[in-house]
Amino acid sequence: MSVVEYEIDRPLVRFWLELSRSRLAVVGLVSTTALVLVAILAPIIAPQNPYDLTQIDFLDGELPPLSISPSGQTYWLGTDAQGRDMLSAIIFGLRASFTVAFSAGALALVAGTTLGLIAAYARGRIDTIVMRLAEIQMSFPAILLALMLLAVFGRGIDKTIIALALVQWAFYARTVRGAAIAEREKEYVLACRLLKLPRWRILVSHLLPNVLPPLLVIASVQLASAITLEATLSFLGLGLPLTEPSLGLLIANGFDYILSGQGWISFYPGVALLIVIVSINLLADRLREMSNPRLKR
Amino acid sequence: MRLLLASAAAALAAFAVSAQSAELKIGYAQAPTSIDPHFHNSGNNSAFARHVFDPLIINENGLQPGLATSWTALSDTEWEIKLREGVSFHDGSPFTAADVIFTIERLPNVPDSPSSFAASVQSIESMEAVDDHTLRLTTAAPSPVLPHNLSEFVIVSDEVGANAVTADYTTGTAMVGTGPYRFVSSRASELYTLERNDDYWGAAQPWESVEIRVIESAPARVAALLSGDVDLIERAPAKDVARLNEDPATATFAGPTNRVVFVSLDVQREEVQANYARDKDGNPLAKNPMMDQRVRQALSMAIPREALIERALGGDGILTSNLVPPGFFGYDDSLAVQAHDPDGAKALLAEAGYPDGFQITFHASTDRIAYAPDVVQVLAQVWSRIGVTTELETMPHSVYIPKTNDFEYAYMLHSWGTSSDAGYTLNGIAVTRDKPNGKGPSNRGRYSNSQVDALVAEAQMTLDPGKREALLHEAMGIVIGDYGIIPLYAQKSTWGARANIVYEPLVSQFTLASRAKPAQ
Amino acid sequence: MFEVVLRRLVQAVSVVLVLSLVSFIGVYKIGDPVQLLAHEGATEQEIEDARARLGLDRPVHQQYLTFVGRMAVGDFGTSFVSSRPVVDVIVERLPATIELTLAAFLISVLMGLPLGIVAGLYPEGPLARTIMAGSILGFSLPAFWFGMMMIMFFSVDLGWLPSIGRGETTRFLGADWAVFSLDGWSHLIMPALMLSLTTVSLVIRLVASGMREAMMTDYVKFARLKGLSERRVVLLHALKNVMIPVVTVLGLEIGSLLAGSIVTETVFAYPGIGKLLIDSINRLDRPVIVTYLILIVLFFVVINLIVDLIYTALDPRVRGTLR
Repeated sequence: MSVVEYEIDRPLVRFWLELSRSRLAVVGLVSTTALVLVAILAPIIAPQNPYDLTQIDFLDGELPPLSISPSGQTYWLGTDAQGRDMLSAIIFGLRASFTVAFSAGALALVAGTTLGLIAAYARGRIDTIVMRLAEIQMSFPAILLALMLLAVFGRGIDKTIIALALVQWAFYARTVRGAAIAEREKEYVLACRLLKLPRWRILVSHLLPNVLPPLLVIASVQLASAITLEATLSFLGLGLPLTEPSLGLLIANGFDYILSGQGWISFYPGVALLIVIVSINLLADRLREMSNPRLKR
Repeated sequence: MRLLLASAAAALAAFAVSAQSAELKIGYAQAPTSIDPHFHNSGNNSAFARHVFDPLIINENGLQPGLATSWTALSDTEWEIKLREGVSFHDGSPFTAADVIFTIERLPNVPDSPSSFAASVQSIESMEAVDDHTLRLTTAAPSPVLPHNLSEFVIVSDEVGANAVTADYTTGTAMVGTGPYRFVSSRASELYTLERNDDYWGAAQPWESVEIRVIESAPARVAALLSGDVDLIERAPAKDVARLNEDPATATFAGPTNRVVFVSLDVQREEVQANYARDKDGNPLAKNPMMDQRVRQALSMAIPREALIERALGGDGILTSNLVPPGFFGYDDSLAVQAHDPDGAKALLAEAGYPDGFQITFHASTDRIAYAPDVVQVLAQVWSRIGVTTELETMPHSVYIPKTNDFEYAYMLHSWGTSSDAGYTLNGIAVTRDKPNGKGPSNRGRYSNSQVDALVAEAQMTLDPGKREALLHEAMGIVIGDYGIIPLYAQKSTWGARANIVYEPLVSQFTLASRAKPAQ
Repeated sequence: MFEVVLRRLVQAVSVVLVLSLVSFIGVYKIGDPVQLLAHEGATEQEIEDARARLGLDRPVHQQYLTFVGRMAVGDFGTSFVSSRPVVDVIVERLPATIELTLAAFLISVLMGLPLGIVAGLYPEGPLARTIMAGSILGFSLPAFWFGMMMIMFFSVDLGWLPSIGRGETTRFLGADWAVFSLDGWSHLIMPALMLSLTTVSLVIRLVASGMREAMMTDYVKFARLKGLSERRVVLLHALKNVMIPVVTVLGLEIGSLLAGSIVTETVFAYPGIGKLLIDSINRLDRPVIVTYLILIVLFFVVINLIVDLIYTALDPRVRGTLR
């Protein structure tokens, strides 16, 4: 095994070889890539643009799967109350969910990690301020935060992203700080200090790689929870605009149909969401193992 | 003999069982904010209060005698109210004119009240108890809606209430009324228990005890009914009605309400507010397009009202051409419901100088008007199809309503329920806003027509029903013809019940135990 | 030790001040509660009167100073909506949420730990794969949907459990508790499961990954070489190390459980403080919202302190770094 690693120095190839040791991870990678592609290419591959109000007709609403519209179009997965083709709505919803979750996640990860590392390394007053900020933030229910943002700025995709990032940064910050403090006391960091390496170098090249494993666990969970949280906000009447539903909003809309026998309205978006999250996690699991030097034999 | 005894015992046992099971569990969609009946003037609180307390006049299918048996106008400003004799409060004390005077005096003066019943009695200048069961009221100006006003609040006991504050009602010590049920206990916003008042002056109540549970989420309410945790629910969503009807264990009861849902357009401001109207490329329009009556009419013509009711409301609506539901005093039958004519709408838009249409931002709240998310999406669709591309901005009611009161939005969805007649509605939403004088308090689109103002003002001072109706018809006709406030539909509401219960809905949407009867 | 606790308390006070200011202004920004609560036909005079009654006619900074001044002597004011003392309103609802959160927490630990250990010890086995797949499913499902499905299945279809609300309560220590009755538990179990859904999955994953790592470390190998029993190695040496991130996350999770209780309580019409918060937001009941937040923040400060103290106990290297 280790022979292979040393022989190949092209990082991408090495990455692929290592990743592909887990068949499930390959499945995760392929399906995540496929889903991202679907999301990016949504306007091309979706049978209908569900955001274009002139293309949808509420008179075609709540049609069961495989119905055929007056214009001859087949609704493979049925339609929702507004007459949106569920398949198209799911494809566009995927796009919206990815956009929101990835943007919010990236924002939160960068902000949280930076603050967490700084807190762990600087200690003292900065540490206190950052951690108390994290506490305030985490004690602030996401819903209330979102409602306040909404009140001041209005409903929309950008506001939802900001709200989710504000909700999530503290998780990264806490975790990074916790892990970094434990690492900081280890011999190699002490050695670096003795070598008088600049602080930022110790932070970036030594502490950061070592806090990555727990960070990836959190990130995979947080990415999923960003999508779910957005769904929950929609469920509570916040979140994305009604006419541009994400997967979460589609499921939330389906909440009203749970008892009415029109199960497809929330079922298919639910399945789509499950596939998305499971794919991300299969991949993330493997990435986590790979990034963890302690798991290498 | 033995047989007789046995069957008597069996009958007795059967009676005991039926008496025991005579418990009604109701699922409310919203909790009373306070059980002090005068603390917060809201429909929900009034519905709860009606179990324990009675109003003077009952507004159900017209005005019915409650604690008052008759109300007569002696002159333009003088009324004589005859009170019911032989009625006693739950603590045994008799009901007299003193209780009414005490109540009317309390209404505007409840400490910390966020919204009082002051408006219901502000026309009353003085009160006089002629005897224990006769009351004379003098109003400052002629007030034809006084009997309606007197139906809006319930009567509390002078004796118990004299030293009581809201907290005493909350704990139950002051919850002493004349109503069909006695207050037993409450866990605020969660569970309220009541028991039958066997000395009730009105019809005997079939329910030994009543439990009111608060279940805000609609599917949860339906699930609770299906699983038998509650016997009766209000606001059963239309989507679940089919299931409730199919299930042999449950049934539904629908009825009209007093509420009309309408579109409100800013017809007053020349300049376009906050870029809420744009040309097709998103550039601000020079002039508010809704200033042109043809544009407003086009928007109304684009709406397929029947289909809207059928699809977006699941049938929970009634066509209306007026701003009050059909059948209400002041409803003008000669007005026709706007016909659906998208081609005509496009032609009107072109005539008004917008052959390619334009874009607007439309505002609505999603958690107050039933099915509002579906309704506004349908509006956005049908308007977009005639060229008025509509972008929706929706929000919770708590964010929405203060902003609409401050005129922050231009094109909106609103609703209005009328407790009395069209005069109340027109004064609330169509008369030029003059807040200090209580005119047009909810006129959020700034509609203004001096003719309407004059007609409504005159109607409000006219006691003669025929003249009054003519004035209201004229005013209503002008408002509808101006297309500044466009009626969409009148709301219906549906109650779900276990199969062994029959429910009679009220237009006020109050959910009352007394309206539920065991099925035969 | 004592110094740490004292310092945290001082910090807590400043945090409470900042938070109360932010939320006070935030709710003020959303809108005027009187306009929301007023009935449709209310006249301007009525609205002005109501604003004056509630003290809303004064400038916001004055309102805030009054609030803080009262808070300093332990008076959190009365609810705009019901005029009941805010503390009463919250305390009345608190036991329900405490029960719900604790039950969800217990489920998370009691299910998460053993499942996580098993999945971590035998990562290649079919059992571990099932557990890990289940955990992925666990946080993929939107909790409100899961809750609704449970109601559908267990209450509507099978009729086993009550669909909503809280069960029979017993008075104990001056509060009403439902955990002393079977009825209470039958009401509690579904909301608690829904609430614990994400946390269980999180614990499983953390413990499993931690266990895997720990079993490969030198000290575990060494402990094995020393001839210690496998059980002792796993439970004492490996688990102790795994617990560090788990305790941190669990501590944080109590907070998200509290926040999550808002949705859970909405779905199950469960009368806790989460539901109270949503109701209060919908009615712009500022005294209740701000007091709720202050309460939660204080709670958080305590939880964090406990987490840090346990942390120290588990990992001696961190000792002396507490602030």
